[in-house]
Amino acid sequence: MTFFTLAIKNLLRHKTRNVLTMVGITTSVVVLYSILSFNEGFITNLNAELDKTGLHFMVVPAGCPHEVAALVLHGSVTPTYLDAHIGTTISRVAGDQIEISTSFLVFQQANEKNQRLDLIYGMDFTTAAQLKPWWRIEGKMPSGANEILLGHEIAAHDKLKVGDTYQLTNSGTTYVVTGILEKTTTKDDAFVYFDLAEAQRLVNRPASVTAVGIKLKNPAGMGAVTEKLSKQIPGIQIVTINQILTSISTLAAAARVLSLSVVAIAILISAIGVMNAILMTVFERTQEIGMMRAIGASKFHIFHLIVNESAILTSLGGAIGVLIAIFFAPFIEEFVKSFMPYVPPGTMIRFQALLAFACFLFAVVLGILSAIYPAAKAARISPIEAIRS
Amino acid sequence: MQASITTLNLKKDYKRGTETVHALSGISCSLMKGEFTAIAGQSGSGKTTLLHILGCLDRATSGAVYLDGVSLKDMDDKSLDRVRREKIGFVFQQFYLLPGLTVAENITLPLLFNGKKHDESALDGLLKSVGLSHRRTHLPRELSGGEMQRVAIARALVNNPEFIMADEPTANLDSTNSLKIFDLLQSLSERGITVIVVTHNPKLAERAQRQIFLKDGMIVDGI
Repeated sequence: MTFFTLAIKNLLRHKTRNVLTMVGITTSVVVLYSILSFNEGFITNLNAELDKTGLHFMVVPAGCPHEVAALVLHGSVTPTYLDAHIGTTISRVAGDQIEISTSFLVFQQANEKNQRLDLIYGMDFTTAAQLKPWWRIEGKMPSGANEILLGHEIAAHDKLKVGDTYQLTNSGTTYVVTGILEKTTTKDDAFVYFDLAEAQRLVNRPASVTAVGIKLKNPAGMGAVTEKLSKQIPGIQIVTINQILTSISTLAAAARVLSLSVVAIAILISAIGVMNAILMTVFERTQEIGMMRAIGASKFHIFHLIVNESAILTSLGGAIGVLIAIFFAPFIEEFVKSFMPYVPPGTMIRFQALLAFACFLFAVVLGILSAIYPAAKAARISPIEAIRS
Repeated sequence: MQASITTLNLKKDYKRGTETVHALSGISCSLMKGEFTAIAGQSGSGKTTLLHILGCLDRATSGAVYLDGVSLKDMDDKSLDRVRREKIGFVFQQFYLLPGLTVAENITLPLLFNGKKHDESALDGLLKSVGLSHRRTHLPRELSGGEMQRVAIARALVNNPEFIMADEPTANLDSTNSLKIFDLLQSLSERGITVIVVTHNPKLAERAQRQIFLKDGMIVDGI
């Protein structure tokens, strides 16, 4: 017999209590793994999403950087516009540093037929191949004002195919779908892409754009270019992709802090639960511990035995918790997403061996720490008083 | 015959509220190696206190105890733990078997604290000597009182101790089982183990090789 087997046999004496204590640990570890994995997935997917814009920075009307972040990631509508000629001004100021300068206009348009708001993206289709090289298009890129490109989700939802027609409520024009985007799992899937001039006409803003996206020939020179633009062009704001990332992270930080607070509370409750269960065990087994001391167990032996029991309990709970978090990740992810103001596309909770091991280790350490007080109390039990009691 | 335990003017006081109780009031005696000694007396006479001090479970207020010629007085708690572990086997009135362990596991429990692995043939011999070979894999709840006490005696013997100290080992047993337990303890003394049994039953005490009668913390007969 070893201390390990003795500890297991002791734990089996109070199955219900120990299973309930273990469930507490399991729950905490499920929450811990899921939230940490979700947070990491969030940042990774957000970075990937921003990388897919193919831009180094955006020129937008002076205002709130959070709006810009929402514009880039959600395609939301901003209340202010830039003059349509801003692109020319930017090219003039920045000189030959710019590889691509592309203006776009984003707005929402009522679609009465389907009783929804369509997201309209007015763009210069000639720069699309350079800005979005990962786009795979069924059909071809639009080349005229009456031709449009549909995002994958819109096309799937409306059951539209290449060659079909599309009509907006306030426009008498019928548009021909010349191309449909293959699924990108990004916001791109949700747009209806128009030629920029046609989009300006639809929203009755022939001289306005929402933003200008800039891709530089040499990204290392971004600081100098943005400084030059900011100084020489009034009424604009330059937002780099990193700044957008920071803005989005800030927006999501509150939700993350809340979720981590939930984790901390769950862990605290579990630790108290473990300590309580082990303390009860120690109180119930006072005479037994006294007997063990009498037959030769040292204080360290008793301490070791009690800590073993706690560590076994929590490591088992931790292992089950990690397995549940991994196997039920899709359900947990959907649940967590429902509380988040914005979630980038892609899988958030993934299997991460290091994180799984860290969560398991955390449960073991939690068990050891929670057992220190009860174990010390048990070790201090006087054999003579225990036997007399 | 060689003395294996010697006490000199052993005193033990303890507080009960504001009152000081003199549990032992100057016990001096010598117990020989292999001797089967019964410590008898009325309830409160100090016999269990004496056994606890002899068994390194408690410390005397004054006086001296020598175990194999070594004074216990200057030993720290760890050393006393080691003496208990290596030299003494305890048998209690309430058996104190661990309910989740089988007979064999209960018997070998002290080896765990002694850092030793159990020897199957030695365990077989031990089970045979206490008449429990057929109960090896049973749990304590499946045993009678007499069988549980025999398991406790086997547990006390597993480390091959020099001393067996039994505190009212027959108090929870019927007369037939009590006699069997005393016979078993007597057979241990015949093997050279010093056996000290505390009992309040004078008839059982008479079966021991030697009797020490205590009253009010003092030896009144049997020095």
